[in-house]
This record gives sequence, C-alpha cells and structure tokens, in this order.
Amino acid sequence: MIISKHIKLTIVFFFGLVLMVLPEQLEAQRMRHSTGGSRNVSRPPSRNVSRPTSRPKPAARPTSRPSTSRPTTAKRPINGGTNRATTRDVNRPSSTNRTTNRKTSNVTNRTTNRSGTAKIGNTNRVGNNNINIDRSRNVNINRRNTVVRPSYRPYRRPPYRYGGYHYYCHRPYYYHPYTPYYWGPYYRPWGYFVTSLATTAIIVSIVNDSSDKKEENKEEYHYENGTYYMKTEDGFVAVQAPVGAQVPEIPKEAEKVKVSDKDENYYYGGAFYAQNEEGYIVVPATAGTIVPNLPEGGEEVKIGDQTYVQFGETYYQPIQVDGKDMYEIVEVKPVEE
Amino acid sequence: MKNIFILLLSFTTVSGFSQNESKIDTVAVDLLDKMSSVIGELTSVTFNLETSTDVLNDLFENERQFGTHQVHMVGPDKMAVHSRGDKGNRAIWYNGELVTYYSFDENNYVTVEAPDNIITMIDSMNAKFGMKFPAADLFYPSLTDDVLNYFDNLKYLGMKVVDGEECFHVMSSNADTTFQLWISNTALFLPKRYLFIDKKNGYQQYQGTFTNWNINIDLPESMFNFSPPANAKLISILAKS
Repeated sequence: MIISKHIKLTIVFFFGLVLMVLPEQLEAQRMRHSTGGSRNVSRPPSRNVSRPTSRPKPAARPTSRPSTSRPTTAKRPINGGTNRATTRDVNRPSSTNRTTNRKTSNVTNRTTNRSGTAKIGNTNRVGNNNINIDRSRNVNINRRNTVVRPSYRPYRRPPYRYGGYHYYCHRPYYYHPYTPYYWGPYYRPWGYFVTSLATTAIIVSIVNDSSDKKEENKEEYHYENGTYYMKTEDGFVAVQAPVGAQVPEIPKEAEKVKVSDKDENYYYGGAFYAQNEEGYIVVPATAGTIVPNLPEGGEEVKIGDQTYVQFGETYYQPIQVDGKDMYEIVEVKPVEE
Repeated sequence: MKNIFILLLSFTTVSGFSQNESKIDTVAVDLLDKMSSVIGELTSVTFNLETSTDVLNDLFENERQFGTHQVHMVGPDKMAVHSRGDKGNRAIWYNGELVTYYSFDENNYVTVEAPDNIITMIDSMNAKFGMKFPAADLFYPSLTDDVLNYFDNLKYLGMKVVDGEECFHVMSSNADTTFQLWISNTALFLPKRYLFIDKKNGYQQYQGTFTNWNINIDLPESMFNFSPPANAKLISILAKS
C-alpha cells in the first residue's frame, strides 16, 4: 500500500511537471523547421496555415549555375528576393529596358557643320494650290547660316573652357530646359512640309562661295511670312533662314534684340535680320546677343558640366535676365596656348 | 608593428639617400607602392570623398567650391558615383557597357558606350568628354610609375595627423604641380587625403579627403544600372576633339 501510494504520488508529480514544461516547449517548436530526426510530436491534424499549395520544389532550381557569377558560398537576399506582380500596372519608359537596348546619346563634334541639314520629319501637307511665284525677285547671296560674329564688347567674365576651346558669355550659366517657341500663326518650324506655296511667296537664291561653279551651287529658297522653304520632289519643306537673304518684310512678331551699343537686329524664328533700304536682310548671329526664345531644330548638348542648345555652329547658353529664362549666343574661341 | 614599420621606413630613407643623390625618396616610393598594391587587390570598394576645388570666378579670383561624393566600385567593370555640392547634384553610372552622366538639377542625361573596365573607361570618358571622376588618379594601377615619370621630386615628409588619423605624408612636385598625399597608417595603407596645387594657374588647389572605406563587400549589380527618372531627357554630348 505504501509503495502503491508512493507510485501514485510520483505519477501525479510527473504529470504536474509535464503540464508546467509542455507549453513552453510547444512555443519553441514554432521556430523549428527541420523534422528533428526521431522526435515524435503530435501536431493537430487539421492545422490551417495559409501557404501557397504550389511552392516551387527545390529540384526546380537550375543545376548548372555559371561559375563566374557567384562565389562558391552563394549569398542570397535576406528577404528571399523581391516578389513582383506579373500584372503590375505601371507604365515604364521604354528606356528602362535592358541596357543593351538603351538609346545612347548623340556624340557631336565641334567640326561638324550641320548648317542646311534641317530635319525633314513633318509630313503635314497643307493645301493644294498651284504655284505662282514671281521670279523677278531672285537674289544671289552667300551662305553662312550658323556663323557667329564676335561680340561688340569685351567679356568681363572668364570663359568656360572645354576641349581646347573657350566659351565666352557676358552672363552666368543658368540652366532651364530647352522648349521650342512658336512665333504666332504664320510661323512654320524647320521641317514643316507643304505641297504648295501662296502666290505671295518670293524666291531667294543663295550661292555657295566655296565653289567655283557658282551656278551649280545656287540654292533656291522660297520665302513666305518669315519662313524659308526649299523645294523637294513632292513640295516644299521649311528650312533655316539663309544668311544674306534679302526680303521685303518680316512678320510683325519679330522682336528687336540688341547686338551692339548702336545696332539692333530683328529676331524671328531663330533668324536675325538687319533692316536696310530694301527691307530686311538675314545676318549671322552676333555673340553676346540675348534672345528670349529659340525655335525648333536645336539640340541640347552637354559640354563638360554645362548644357547648351546647339544650332549648327551656333551655341546658345541658357541664362536668366531679371528672373526670366533667356539665351545668350556663345562666342567660341580656340584656346591660345 | 607600427614602430617596426616606421623604423623600417627610416632605414630605407637613409639607405635611399645614401646610395644616390636623387630627389626621389625611396620611402615615398615604398609607401605609394604599398598603397597601390592594396588598391590593386580590392575586388570591390565604397568610400566617401569630400573635395574642395578652386575655380576662377567672375572676379577672376580663386573661389573654393566644395563637394561630397559617394563612390562605389566593383571590379572590373562596375562603378557608381553620386556627387553633391557647389557644382550641382549629379551622378555617374557605369555597368561595364554604358556610362551615364545624369544631372539631378537639370534632369537630363547622356549615355555613351564605354570600355569594359573601370580604368580604361575613366581614361576614355575623361579624354573624350572631360568627365571627372573624383580621386581617380589614385586608383590607376601605375600610380607610382606615373608619379615618378611626371614629377621631378618625391619625398616622404613624416607622420601627420589628418582628421584624428595618423598618416604618412608624401609630397611630389615639378615646376607646374605639387601633389601631396596622406596615406593612413593602418594595415591597409589606404589614402586619406590628397592635394594638388596648380602652380601655373594661380596656385589653384584641388583637395580630397576620404572617409568610410568599405572594401571587398558585396554590392548589388542593379545599383550600377541607370534608370531614367520621369521626364528625364536624353541629350547629346560634345566630344572634346
């Protein structure tokens, strides 16, 4: 009896001990992910864990990894890698594609002469009128479309130096994005295409001085409302104003810009005009001239740390005048060693 | 260990000068070699750099401009540099194929094809487009030879303290330029500070101080790929020649 009572007390003590210890063991078991060998733990049969039924099997991993891409002890992301929805509704720019397909910048060179190479990309076709042009007003002049005349006054600021050239400006660099400007209802950007011109259009002939055969190098421009056109097979395309072109009048949207203490030019559609007895003549840009707007056809070019807008051989530096975004024509000179 | 090394250096100095009357200090050569060899064995590195640069301002005076740069490199063909300071907020990404220079201030960028290793890329981008990579000089594998070829004098100036850190001070010079380098007196001999003085241009100074070196760490490859931000504009770039 005494022994039986002792056994009962032992059993009661044992169960009490189990009840005290077991909850803690069950708590720790949640962090145990391996099977634990021969340990036999009775889990509830219908445990409701919301796990995906189709977990990828380990065998699905590639067996032949490239030996150069990972060290022998492969490290893995701490969060198992980013999960991305396959149907994410985000419009990514096309340039975020793989780097091998990424568009690269156009590398320009100072010696490149882009004058007279306006892009012909606009396929808008306007009207269907017959051409009737007064040929008695043809003018023979020279072609220097993007040459820059030096500034009339000395520079008080040190130039910006890049690639063996000095870039002189009277005002400090102040970046603002290049946004092409449209000069009123008659303005036509370079590349604008029309099948025919109005009867008021005039012909302006330009002769290239660089050739002995001047007649063969004569280029005919058609001028109408401040826009110069060159004839193509199908019609006419708007181009940059040729330096030396004499026209009787320019659009009223033309603005006066100061080119020296005494002289002013008229500025319209990216071209500079000097007034004379016959009307207006297209003149080269003058370094230091400040213009409020730029036409289409320019391209932003990174020159060292600065970004200019380039039209042929003419560079425009973004500046700010009295809080307004403007551009100053840069004078580029080779560095004299 | 440190004392032993200093004694070794002192001995080398004496022997170096005793053997010939050269203006080249062999201690300085050893220090540059040691630093270069450590840098040459790095598989990846990140560091911060604080720079000061003299530029001629509108008053034709030397104006000092400051910048901070975070540099990440993984050999042989990954690099990323993020720079802030008086010259603007800008960054460079290089992924082994393309180099992108992005201006945060202007939200425009240029992307050009690049050679397939860091040093050639730096050389190429600097020569073609004038791109500047902070402290790039010190990462050239031929640094010591370059210094010996370019400068007339090279001298070890002793132990100095830079930002509380003990450093070996090395100076080299010629008629045009003075180059000074402070190399940390630690097991890795990493550069702590450099200083260039342009004697021909009003003694303009260009200085950089390194902090937060991390070497041979794993960096994700994706950080070296550029993704253009919204409305960022890809623009052209003018070659230097």
